[in-house]
Amino acid sequence: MPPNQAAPLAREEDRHGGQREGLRDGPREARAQRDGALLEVWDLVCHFKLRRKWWKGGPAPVVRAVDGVSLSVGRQETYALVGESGCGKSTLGRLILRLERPTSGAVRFEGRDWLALRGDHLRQARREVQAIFQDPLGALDPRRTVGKSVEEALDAHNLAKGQAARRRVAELLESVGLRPALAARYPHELSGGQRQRVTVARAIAGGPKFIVADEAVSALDVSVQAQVINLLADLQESLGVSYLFISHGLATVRHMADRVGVMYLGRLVEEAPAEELFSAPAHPYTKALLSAAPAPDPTTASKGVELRGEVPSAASLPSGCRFRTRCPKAKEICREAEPVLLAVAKGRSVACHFPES
Amino acid sequence: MTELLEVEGLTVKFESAAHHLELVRDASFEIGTGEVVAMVGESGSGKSITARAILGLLRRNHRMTVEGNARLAGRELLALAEAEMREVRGRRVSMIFQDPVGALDPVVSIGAQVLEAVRRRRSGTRPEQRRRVIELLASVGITDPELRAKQFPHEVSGGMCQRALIAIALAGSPELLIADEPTTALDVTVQAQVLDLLKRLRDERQMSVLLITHDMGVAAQTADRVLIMYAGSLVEQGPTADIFGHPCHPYTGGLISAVPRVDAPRSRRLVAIPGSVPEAADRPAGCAFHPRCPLADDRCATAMPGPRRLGNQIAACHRAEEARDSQVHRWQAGPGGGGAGRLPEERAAL
Repeated sequence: MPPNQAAPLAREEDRHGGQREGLRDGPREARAQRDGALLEVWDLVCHFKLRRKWWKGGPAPVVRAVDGVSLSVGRQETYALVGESGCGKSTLGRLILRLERPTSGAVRFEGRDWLALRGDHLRQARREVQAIFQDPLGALDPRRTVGKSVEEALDAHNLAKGQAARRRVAELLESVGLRPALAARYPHELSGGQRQRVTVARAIAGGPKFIVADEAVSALDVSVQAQVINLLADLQESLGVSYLFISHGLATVRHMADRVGVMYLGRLVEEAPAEELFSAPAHPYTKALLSAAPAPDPTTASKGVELRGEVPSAASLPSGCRFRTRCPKAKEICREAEPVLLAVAKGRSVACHFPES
Repeated sequence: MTELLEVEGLTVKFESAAHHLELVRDASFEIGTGEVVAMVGESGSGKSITARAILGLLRRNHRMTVEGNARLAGRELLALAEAEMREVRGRRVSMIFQDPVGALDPVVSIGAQVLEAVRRRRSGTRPEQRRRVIELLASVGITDPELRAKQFPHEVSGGMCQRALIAIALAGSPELLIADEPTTALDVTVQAQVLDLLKRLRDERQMSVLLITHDMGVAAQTADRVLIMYAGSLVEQGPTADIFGHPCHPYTGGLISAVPRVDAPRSRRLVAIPGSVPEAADRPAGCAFHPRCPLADDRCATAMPGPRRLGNQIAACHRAEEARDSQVHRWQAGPGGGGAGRLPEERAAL
């Protein structure tokens, strides 16, 4: 870290000292420090090679979906990963779930090398890392009652069979706010919110420590979205689970997240405790995302940071800073040098040549 | 402001062997010249059906019936023959849809698709028409329109496709643009650009816009007036400032509070409306919202509330005054946050 970074560090701590000791953050942060991180991602890279078109010369184009991301998620912590479509947030989630193979990089779960696990060890470990996706109708077998779908999760991990399994299914459904009688229904007989509750029940069946929630509430109606967000928060309290909460909008993560990482074209551009990110965004992209979210209040006009154009293709990245083509603050240096993710205060880092202070 | 579109008692019914459904029930509203009106509702509330009924896009037969009136500048639309309706569509009323990439023909260049719409007006020579295409593309904020006109939908982004569709919709210089969830498939930063474009077009052309959306934030930031739909009925309408300042229907209030926002005080729990939107086939008797409503009493369960005027607003609620005055819509999470936002049965289950 360059020496000039030290001064702002001290200043930031002064300013946020009071807030840190708040009831909400205090014990949590202490716990994270004591236990160490639950999940650590080190410089994860995932490139997809496209097929070379015979009528175009040159090498095959490479989509840099995830291009060097490091992050860590503590126990019972919610880390929100935010960015627009194509930024690589879902690929990162899938890499952590081992649904995709990384090009390079490391993932450690509870200190173990998560990517090296094979066979029975992997199956064992999968109990502890679960997923909830955007579309619950697609995630549930249409020809199976939702009770059977949840039971299958118990069966896969050899947790319960027969009568005991059915009792456990009833318990699980109750814990996500569904009547146990709904176990006999098929997915199409349930509402969108109820279906998503079923997939949550299935995800917590094996007693996971970590859940990747990829756009888990995006497809739900507004009035139901809030219910599911509240449910996930409640489950975190009762089960002590950690979330990687992937979302395209900052508003949805505001109520859930302890820390937020903002992604743009395969890289983290800013990482900060949620409270600080929302009150004082440091990266121009974060600022633009915040001001682009329309507030349900006609008296608050948008704050006017407006972005031109759209996200460039991850197969042909701009030189220097990836965001410079849309950035209102871009200067010559942004074209030449890619900014590195640097710590600007405790728990805060930003990748920008001209961060807001 | 003169009213451009007047809709009165619009009812859409669908009958099948098993069901007798009222997809839209007795909807009445107006859209003034140069006004942006947002129609907000959750999925299945009947907002798209309403728009399609007005444009004559519903297949009307023995199963699907449309009743009521929709007058465009005094002319009844619902009684028009298909040939006459086709003259209205595109020239006087245009519509754009949610999925911009799907709405364009994948094997025809963007310019040719705009040209098709320009040609339907049968005016000008070919070179004039080509110039008009470029003008239209430029007017919707497409940079480098000459190049874009030659490209195909898959070569450009979703936001660009939506702009191209708006250009097509504008080709006939319509008085009314119906935009059905035009930004739902777009990223937030692009959404902001498209909404700004709609507002600018309204200002430049004195065009009216009916903006259909599920997002209260989009409505608040874009519309002059807001219509709220729930389960096939218009439950509330009024000027945007009034609707958001003091909603008269508990559902409106619930929707406003349920929207997560980036500038709200941060709390662990969001305010949620309990239960879910009923399907068209099993809407409850009385007020369709009563099973989810914190103010509901016996009357709400039996009698369907009719629309009533309260100041600038019109609300269909028996207890609209209380809803407005008591501000119950600011539903708070109860002590400990355990009970609020859940149905009684769910509460019992916990």
